[in-house]
Amino acid sequence: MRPAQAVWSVWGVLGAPPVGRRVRGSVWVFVLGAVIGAAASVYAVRAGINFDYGDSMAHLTIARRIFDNKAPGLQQLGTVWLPLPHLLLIPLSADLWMWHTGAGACVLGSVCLGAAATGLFRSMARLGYSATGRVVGLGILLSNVSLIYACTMALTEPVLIASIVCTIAGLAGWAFADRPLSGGELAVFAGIPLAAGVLSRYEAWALVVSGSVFVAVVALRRGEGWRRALAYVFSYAVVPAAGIIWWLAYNMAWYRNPLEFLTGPYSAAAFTEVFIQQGQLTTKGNPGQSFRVLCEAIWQTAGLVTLLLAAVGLALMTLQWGLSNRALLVWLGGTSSAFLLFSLTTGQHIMVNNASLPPGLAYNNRYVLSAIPWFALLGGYLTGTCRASAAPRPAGALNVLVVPVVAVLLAVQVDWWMKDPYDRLTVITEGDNGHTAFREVKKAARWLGTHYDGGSILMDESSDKLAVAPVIGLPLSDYYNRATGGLFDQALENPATHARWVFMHVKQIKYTSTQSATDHVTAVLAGDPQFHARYALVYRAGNFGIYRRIDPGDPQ
Amino acid sequence: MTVTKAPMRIGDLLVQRGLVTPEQVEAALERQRHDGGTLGQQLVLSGAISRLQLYRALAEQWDAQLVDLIKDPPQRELIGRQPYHDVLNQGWVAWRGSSHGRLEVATTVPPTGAVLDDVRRHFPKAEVSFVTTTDWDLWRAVEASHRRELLYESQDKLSVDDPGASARSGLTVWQNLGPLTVLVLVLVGVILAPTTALASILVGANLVFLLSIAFKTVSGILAPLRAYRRQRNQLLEMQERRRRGLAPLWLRGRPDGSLPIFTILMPVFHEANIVEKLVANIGALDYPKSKLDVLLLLEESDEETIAAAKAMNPPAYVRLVVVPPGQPQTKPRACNYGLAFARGDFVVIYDAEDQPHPDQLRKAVEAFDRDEIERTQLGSRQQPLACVQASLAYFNADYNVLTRMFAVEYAHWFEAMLPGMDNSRIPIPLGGTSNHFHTGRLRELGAWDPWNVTEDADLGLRASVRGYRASVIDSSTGEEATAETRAWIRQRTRWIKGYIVTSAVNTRHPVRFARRVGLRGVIGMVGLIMATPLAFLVYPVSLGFTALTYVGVQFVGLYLPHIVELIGFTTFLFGNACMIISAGIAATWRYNWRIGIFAIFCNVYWLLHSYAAWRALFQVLKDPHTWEKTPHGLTKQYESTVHV
Repeated sequence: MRPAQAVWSVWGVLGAPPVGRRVRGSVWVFVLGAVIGAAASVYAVRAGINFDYGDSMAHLTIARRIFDNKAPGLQQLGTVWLPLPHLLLIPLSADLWMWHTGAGACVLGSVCLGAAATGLFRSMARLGYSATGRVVGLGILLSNVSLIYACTMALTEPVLIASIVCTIAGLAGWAFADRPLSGGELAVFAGIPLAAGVLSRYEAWALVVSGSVFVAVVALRRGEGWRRALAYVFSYAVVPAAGIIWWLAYNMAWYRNPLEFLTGPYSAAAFTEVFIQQGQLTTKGNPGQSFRVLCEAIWQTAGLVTLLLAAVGLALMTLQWGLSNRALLVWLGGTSSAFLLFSLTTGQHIMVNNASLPPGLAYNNRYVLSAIPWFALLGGYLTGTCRASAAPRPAGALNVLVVPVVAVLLAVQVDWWMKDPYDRLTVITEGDNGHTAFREVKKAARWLGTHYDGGSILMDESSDKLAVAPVIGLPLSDYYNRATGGLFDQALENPATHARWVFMHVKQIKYTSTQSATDHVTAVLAGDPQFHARYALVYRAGNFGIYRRIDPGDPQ
Repeated sequence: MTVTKAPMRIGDLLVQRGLVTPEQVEAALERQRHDGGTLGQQLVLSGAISRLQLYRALAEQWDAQLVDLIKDPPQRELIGRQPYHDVLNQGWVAWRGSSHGRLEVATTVPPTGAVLDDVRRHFPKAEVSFVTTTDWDLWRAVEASHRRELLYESQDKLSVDDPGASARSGLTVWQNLGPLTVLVLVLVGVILAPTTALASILVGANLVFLLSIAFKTVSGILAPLRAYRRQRNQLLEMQERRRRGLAPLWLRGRPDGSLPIFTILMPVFHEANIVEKLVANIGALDYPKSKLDVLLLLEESDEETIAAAKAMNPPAYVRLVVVPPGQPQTKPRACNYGLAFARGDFVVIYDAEDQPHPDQLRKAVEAFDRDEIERTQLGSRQQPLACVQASLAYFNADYNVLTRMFAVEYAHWFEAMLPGMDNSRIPIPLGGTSNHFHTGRLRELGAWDPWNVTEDADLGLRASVRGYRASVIDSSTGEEATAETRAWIRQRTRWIKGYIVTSAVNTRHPVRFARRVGLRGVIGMVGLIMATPLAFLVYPVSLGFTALTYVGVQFVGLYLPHIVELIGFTTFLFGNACMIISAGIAATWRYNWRIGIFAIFCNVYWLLHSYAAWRALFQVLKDPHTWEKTPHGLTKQYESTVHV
């Protein structure tokens, strides 16, 4: 087969209309997304940038401590972080090397990127986009450096994005099928991905509501009546609702408070409290400021080319499709952004960037990554307008040029980003900030990992900047930490009989993100002369010290 | 009157009368040489002439006037002297008699000397003359005159001749009191010692669950052994054949001309929407049409389906049998009624929408032939084969989630469990369709119990009790999986109710049952027929416990001994994993991964089973004979190639 024929053949696959549940090209799109994620992961692991986010290390630690801990079990999940990403990371963290290097998280991130690409591709196919539109949509998604970077880390965003996109794909499959599909199809192909979403991030909870509205509207427009529409809504929402109920029950079972994740000491509310005290939560109660902060984050994450394509696509879609079912499905992609705006305004979320008042170090801008698939859908619409549309389509040579032109524009955008990613991409900026903030503690952690020669370690890894267990790379069953509950308290009372090593802040930290982030080990031991008599400071990096018990026979 | 002159051949006669062309006769002769049957039958089947035209010509050939038995039925006192099956087998009936000893016999077969001798055996002193009638007239006349007897045989005979084998009398006193006693014990236990009682319930529930899962999983694992065993036996057989100087391989199958007549029973009820598919589905069978005897069994009250069946103008090998009203109005009663008219050496049941694999009838004949050879020539001491079951595959498997789950379940059932049970010589419960019987043995067994709502499973067990066996054949039938939840619940309620009733019928005298069926029969009865409904009944207990444990037992303040928790949790997770994996593999093998992957939803699917099981238990106590009909044709014209 000649190259031109091969290209034409691939093009035909990419533009093939769906047949039943099958959308040709899905497997290859998944492979493409996963390979891009894997390639980025190799670079990230080698460069060590996959541990720049403190959350990345914390998520990996939670996943492993469920089975590798002095007090293992599901109680290690939570509280504010929803459990699915940790559960998914369990098998990928079982191998110490996979956990230590973060490669396990890279596997999950790459699979999520592949799943997101596939979900997007299938959604576009169901919406009737041409091959051009589908390729442009995929290009927007898979050329987003911030998203790819996030997929190399153990963050919750990749799982959330994959879940949202797959939910939308499931809804598209149900809404635009050749024959009316049952509620069971909705429950399986949209409800289950959404359940994964609601157990990953709270943004997905909003999609339960918006998706339900979509399902009801589609059913009513088909003339199926309210009763049937409600049955479809039930089918769509029952699985994610079960996930939410399970989460409330879990919080109730372990913390005697079903809303522990919302109000507890590790909750988002606890974080915002500190920001409020410092006068930095200016988005709360201020929709305009919230909108500006959100837009700044989007601008610095999506890029000019993507936003232009999406904006024009949105305008064109509104003109052509109005509020049709297809348009409503595309609008569903914006649910997480709407939820972010709402939660910024109500003070549930904190986001800091150049638009913040006062401006501060980049913080939580990666939340807007969930909008990228929406922009991809809109950009895809612009370039691959539905065949059913009555509007004139770009014809002839112009049509042929669309893909190369958009490809060049996206390449220029990537090139511009990569020339100064620490300044131009806020997600990477935040990672770099983390890299700087964790430099000393990681140095100490690596020293401990290298010089460890047996015995337990006492360490409050839940305190500020001490979530570095993956960098140390030792089994978590060697640790006494907050996650070990009563054992931690016993070790604090009498460290010498429990731990050979103590890893703590040499001096207690003054400013923490939450009240709970103070170092409990430092609080108890730093001023205890008996501790200093029994332990020697064997390594210090900045404010972080590693102490080793002085055992008989040890060199003084 | 006897034939005294050489008659003109029927082909020549028809050509002479201008009813057919010589080419049509030649083609029919060719088919006759290949397929067997009579020339007239081939001409009617090809549509060259009508049945009436054929018999008019035969009447002329036999020099015997053609009579209409519907218009002029046989005299009641004469036909009453001939058992109806004799009439149908012999092809003639005493039609008119006179006080002078004259007897007119209406015949559908040539009035040869042998037939005359046969008549004289029944009517020794009569002066016999013949008239001609059509086979259709003869059958209708028999049906009209023996109506009461036919009804008795189809609905009451088994319960009268062998009441212990029939579900008519329902549950015995101790069987009725059993569940109530358990309930009372549980309530008393919960009040007096709640933790002990709950622990006991949990242990009991898990034991039942484990038993059911273990049986199904082990059966599934044994399936591949069946293939290995067959291969090994084939090698041994080749050695033995060589030793005896025979060709190394047994030539499978018979030539078309020597294939036996195969009766197909197709009960339909309120299925006017799909009855027209029947001809196409059955017509696709690779079996000589002259050897097919298709009986479409229609209920007299179902006028719509009767009208649809008549309107479709079925081919000559299809007979429309209208089953008179009676109680219970069930599928097995209709099948029993149809069985009375069956002409075949073998008989099979298909639903109207069934799409049997074209080679299925041949494979069934081959299996019976094989059984005969093994027992008579190879020295096998195996029990005679009464039935072979083909597997069921769903042509609408990917219609919706429910049909996918149905397909997963039945892929495991037919592709793993039944072959595994067959390998272990454990009696297999027959499915509702595509079970091929040796007609004589089926009649000897008493046919289907019309009072049992899973007459198929019951018959499989009864065959085992009476010293016969059922086996499986490597052929499948495309069926429609129930696509609506309500219909599914009704269907599954009936099936589970049938299992409970079948268990009850066979354990009225447990020791006697065990002696008759042996250890394997008991294993099949306990592990499948009894454990299946029980496992579904206790499933919510096991699932609920696991779910509560998952979020923390202290959530509901239920503190059970750790060992009980551990065993329960492990059993449930391990059991589920076994079933999901084995069902997923079977469904992927049978269909594809898109169906197989749905095995992960087995837990949710079993909740539906559980609901149906509790509904069934309630019905068993209240009304064990109610037959909840499964509607077909719900997926309309949908048909995928996923089962191919």
